[in-house]
Amino acid sequence: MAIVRLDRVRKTYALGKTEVAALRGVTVDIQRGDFISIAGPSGSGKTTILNLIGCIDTPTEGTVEIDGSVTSGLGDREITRLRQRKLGFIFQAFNLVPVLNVRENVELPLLLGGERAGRSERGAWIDHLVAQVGLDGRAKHRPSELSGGERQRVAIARALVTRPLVVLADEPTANLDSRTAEGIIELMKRMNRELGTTFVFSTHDARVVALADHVISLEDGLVASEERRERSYAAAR
Amino acid sequence: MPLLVKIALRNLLERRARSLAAGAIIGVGALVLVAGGAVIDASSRGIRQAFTASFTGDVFIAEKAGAPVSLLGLASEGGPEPAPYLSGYRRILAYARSRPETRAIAAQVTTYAGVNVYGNENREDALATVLFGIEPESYRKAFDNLTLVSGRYLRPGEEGILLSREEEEALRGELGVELRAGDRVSLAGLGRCAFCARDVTVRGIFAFRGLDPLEAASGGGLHIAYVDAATARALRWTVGPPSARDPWSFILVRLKNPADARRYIAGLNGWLATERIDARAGDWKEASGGFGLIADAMRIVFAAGILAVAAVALIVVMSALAMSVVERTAEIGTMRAIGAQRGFIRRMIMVETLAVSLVSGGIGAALGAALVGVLDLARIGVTGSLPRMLLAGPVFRPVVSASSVAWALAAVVVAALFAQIYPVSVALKVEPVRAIQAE
Repeated sequence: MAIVRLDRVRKTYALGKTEVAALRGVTVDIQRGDFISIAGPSGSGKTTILNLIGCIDTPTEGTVEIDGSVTSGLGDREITRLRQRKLGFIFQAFNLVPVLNVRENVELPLLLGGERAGRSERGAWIDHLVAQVGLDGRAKHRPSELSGGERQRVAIARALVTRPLVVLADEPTANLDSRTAEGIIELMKRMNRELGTTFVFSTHDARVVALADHVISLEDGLVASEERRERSYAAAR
Repeated sequence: MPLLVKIALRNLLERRARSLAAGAIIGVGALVLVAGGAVIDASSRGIRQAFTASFTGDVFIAEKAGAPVSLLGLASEGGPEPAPYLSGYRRILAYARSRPETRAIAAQVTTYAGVNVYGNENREDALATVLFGIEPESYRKAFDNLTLVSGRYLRPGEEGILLSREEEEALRGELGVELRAGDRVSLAGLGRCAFCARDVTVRGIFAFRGLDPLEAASGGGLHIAYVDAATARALRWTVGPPSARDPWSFILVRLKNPADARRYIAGLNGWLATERIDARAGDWKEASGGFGLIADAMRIVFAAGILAVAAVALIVVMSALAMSVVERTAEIGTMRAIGAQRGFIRRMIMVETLAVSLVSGGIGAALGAALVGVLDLARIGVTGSLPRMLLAGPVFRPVVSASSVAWALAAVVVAALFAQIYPVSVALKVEPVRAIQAE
């Protein structure tokens, strides 16, 4: 069963007096454990798809379903709760809270969600994630003291801390050099396999696309092609 | 430390320059409020003490009249007139004596006269004087406010007048006659009693022991002299029940604890109503005939100052916070995207506002208290009657009260709470999509 389903989704934006169609009837199913790249040139609708799945934008037509819940019609409070519990976010510009250190940034989504797990259990999980992304020696550092790649690793740990169903990453490697970018995608892939978390990331970098198991290519707001390259976590199960 | 507080405080530190600028304004505001409050408190206390200890007592009881009644008389349209006699004098006196809070009671009848040197027929030479007709023994127990420069105090049952040193000097300057105890002066009635006249013996020349609030407040144009009650009654147009057996216009009560005055007055007014006595009790401000309103006027000016300071603090804090919110749009958008409810954002900004306000307000208040302490230790001398009255004595001794500190902090906090309304509304409009747009 698909954990994310976009059904005939259209999204138009007003640009002055004209309307611009970002998506023109897209239907996509995402399975549990998928490692998907949304590929396509600039303006093809990659970010719009991620925004709709991430419940930070609403479709003009069609429906978005996350883990069986149709998102349209939910109030701000419910949408925020859904994002906090079921989705993780990795941003192009990292978007870490500058006044919090690595460990605190990773812990933040749990605290925002009023996580009730025991302090020690929670601490161990955070430490595990920080170690998994290779930053256990830098847990007390603030974002300004980290490199771009390290910041994105923190963002990955933060996205995973609530054990979400889906992690959405919008151009996660755009601000990184190619070697670091490759490392970040490899890390995401490892997390996908070890934790079973679904990853959906957008990119226009062909080298990054090559690392994905499942590629959805967009062109002018439509799905141009869809390709499964190897057994993903879902298929392996 | 909770995450929310951690983020708020670190954000303030991160934007140190702006936080310091906002904090400095708030701190200076709190300092001004505390120091100003101490001066106003000292002044109010001084004015009140000057009046209650010298003239009005803590409770003032007078017959009801169609116009405001004070110790100086009835404020009628044609000018001041003697206040009516108290119809229930004896019963009120008995009631006041029965109350355990009462420390001393004095009765008074007030009139006005021109005081002239005996034998001088020129009425224009007379000095307009407020005559306080008293019963010497009880009055002295209630108001031990005079220092005799020469002569002696009035004795029970005898006729006579006590002139102030200032009035004696004024008469000497005008007529070249030095008045001494034992000399006679002529008293000519004023207003409706223009044809009333009495000659009385000067028993003493006095100076006010503390302050002369009436002289200070009137700029020296108003003289007070003390006469025996019979003389005062003879120089006034009789207003009130002609059958009054005890022709006194006022009963003045001094309390063991002046803080009980409000409760005492309320109880007494209730009793007067129950007993159907056509009199009413008031406080020292009513008795002083508006001079006591100086304290209220100063309070109002101070309150306006508080509002102005609060408004400035409000604008500064609001601007600083709004700029901070605009700078942190991506951060707030990210927080919203990863699960922060609007309430979290609202609380985060509120904590920032309150932290700046309370810390800088607290420091400002502490510096204000220290400044007041330094002023107190400096023992600054004050000259002139009005400054002395306004600053509560010959030495300026301001004291910080808990209430002025509380008011200062309350003003700062209220300003801060208002100040955060706009920044919070800006922050709550930040949508999670702003996190995606951050570059």
